[in-house]
Amino acid sequence: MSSMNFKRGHLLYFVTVADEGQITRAARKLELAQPALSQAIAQLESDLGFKLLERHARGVTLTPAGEAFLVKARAAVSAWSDAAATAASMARARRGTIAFGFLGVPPGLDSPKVLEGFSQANPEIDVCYRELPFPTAVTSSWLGNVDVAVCHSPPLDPGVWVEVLRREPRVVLAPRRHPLAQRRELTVAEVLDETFIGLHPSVEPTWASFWSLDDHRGEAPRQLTADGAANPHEVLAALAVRQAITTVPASVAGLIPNVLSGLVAIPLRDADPASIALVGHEDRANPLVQALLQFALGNTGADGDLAI
Amino acid sequence: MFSQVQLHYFVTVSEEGQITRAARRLHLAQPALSQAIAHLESELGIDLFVRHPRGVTLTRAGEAFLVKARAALAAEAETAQMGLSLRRAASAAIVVGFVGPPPMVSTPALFATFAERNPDAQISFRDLPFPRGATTTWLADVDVAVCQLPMSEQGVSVQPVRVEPRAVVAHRGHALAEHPEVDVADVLEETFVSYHPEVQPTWAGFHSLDDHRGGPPRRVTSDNALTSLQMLGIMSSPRAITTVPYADAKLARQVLPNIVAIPLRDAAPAAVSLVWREGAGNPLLEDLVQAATRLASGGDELDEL
Repeated sequence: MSSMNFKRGHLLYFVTVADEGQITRAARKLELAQPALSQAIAQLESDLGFKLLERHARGVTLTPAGEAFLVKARAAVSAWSDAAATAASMARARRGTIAFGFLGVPPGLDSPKVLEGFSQANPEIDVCYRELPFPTAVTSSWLGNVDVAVCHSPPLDPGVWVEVLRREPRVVLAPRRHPLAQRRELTVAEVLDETFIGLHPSVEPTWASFWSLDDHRGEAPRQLTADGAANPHEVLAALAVRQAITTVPASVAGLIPNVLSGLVAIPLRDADPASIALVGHEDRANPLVQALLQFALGNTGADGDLAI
Repeated sequence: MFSQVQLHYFVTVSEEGQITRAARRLHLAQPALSQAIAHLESELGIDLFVRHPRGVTLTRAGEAFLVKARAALAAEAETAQMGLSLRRAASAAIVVGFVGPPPMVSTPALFATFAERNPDAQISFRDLPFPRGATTTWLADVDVAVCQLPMSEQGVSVQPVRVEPRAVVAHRGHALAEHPEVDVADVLEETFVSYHPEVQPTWAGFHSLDDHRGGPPRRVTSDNALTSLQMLGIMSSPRAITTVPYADAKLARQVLPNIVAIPLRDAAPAAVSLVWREGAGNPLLEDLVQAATRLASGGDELDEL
């Protein structure tokens, strides 16, 4: 009655089932067989001594006890994975490796200067690139296993630092057959009423809405496509088949039409710029990341832009 | 991944700064602990400690990992506590903590009503030390506590059961013992019972009349109390006084012939309350709170003492 023994791994299973609302989908995400997951959840319920889930024909819902337990289980799962990720980051630093996250366009293409300079100045440090999806609600868990990432500033959360490197104009990206495709330049007012590519609900809302110009419109676009894109590739795939647009930082826009001839990039004369930033974990004290940050901050160009 | 036991060993060694001392605290042989730490370091791929002849110190990586290891252990402990609370909620059980006299004595009407309404409830009582650290942590092993107000905190709810005057408790040989009643001004300069340094300052201060004095007593005993019994233990000689709710003082006098309870005419009253962590939704707790709310508005609880 008074002791509580459950397997820690089962907490992750439970949190995933609660988030997915379905054993089948959760099993797929966890790469487990569905019966094995059902059995693990039943075992957890029996270890705890109360029911976590109500089973329905089309999925599962949490019992009130399950909801109260979920809050603590989620915090425990994230604290353990944070501890593991911190250790992994330190172990990488000891091996002389930085895991560097990026969105879509590899940093070596859209901002070669700093990374080349940093590698020349620190030949013993090996930078490994990891592609990330769009930022999700909690920036520190989105960063997860990378030590540092470069992207348009995500919202601050207590677990991360954000150091803005440079500001870049936003540019409209549209399919070649779009009515706006022939324009050499556009103003914000001209595109506010267009249909924009919709991003996935898990993408951090402020970050997501920046690319559909909600900051200028003051609200969501009249029409968003149902694509639910969760990363840059899905946005490009959607653009190829939709009568819709999106915006991207100028450095990205400069590269895309070279690769995808079906898309055009049109400068937006009066949109507020995107802030391209380095983002890292606040409390991991990774010495190599500190060296990289120092190098980046010490390499501001004559135009005020950092050369990353 | 690393285990809970490994993290616990690591945190203990970092707190002790010495494998030998940490091994003693963990009831382990020193070589076994050294080996466990070395094993953890090789699993993580980082050095956690620098070894010196006289002990160990954390590396920078060890420092960063210590913060995360503590957070992981605390989060898991909280999950287990919530699991236990929810298990009790699901099985008609409730654990009631108390400070000082047991609830059957300090709040008899409340628990009589509660037992009558819930004949099948498994109710158990647990003696709590004075609140120290965070109130939520102090309440970790109980569903609710009956006591005076601890430090208020987010996630902690309070329902007063009754409000009552404070009384001075002293040894029969104390100079004040002959007084039928006293004023606050008469006792502010006395030597007071000292409370353990970890006891919440507002709690200790309330018993020492800091709320009336505007600061701690000028003189306190050299020994300090972490529980009600220790507090009464310090009272075994006529050297110091403290104050408690009047009912508690009367009870102490009934049980301990060497103790006197002297009403404090003009001290701000004490609120004996139910205090609980929110979240587990135990139906028995809800019922107990309801009963307390009714009693608090009726005000007949104290008459029974």
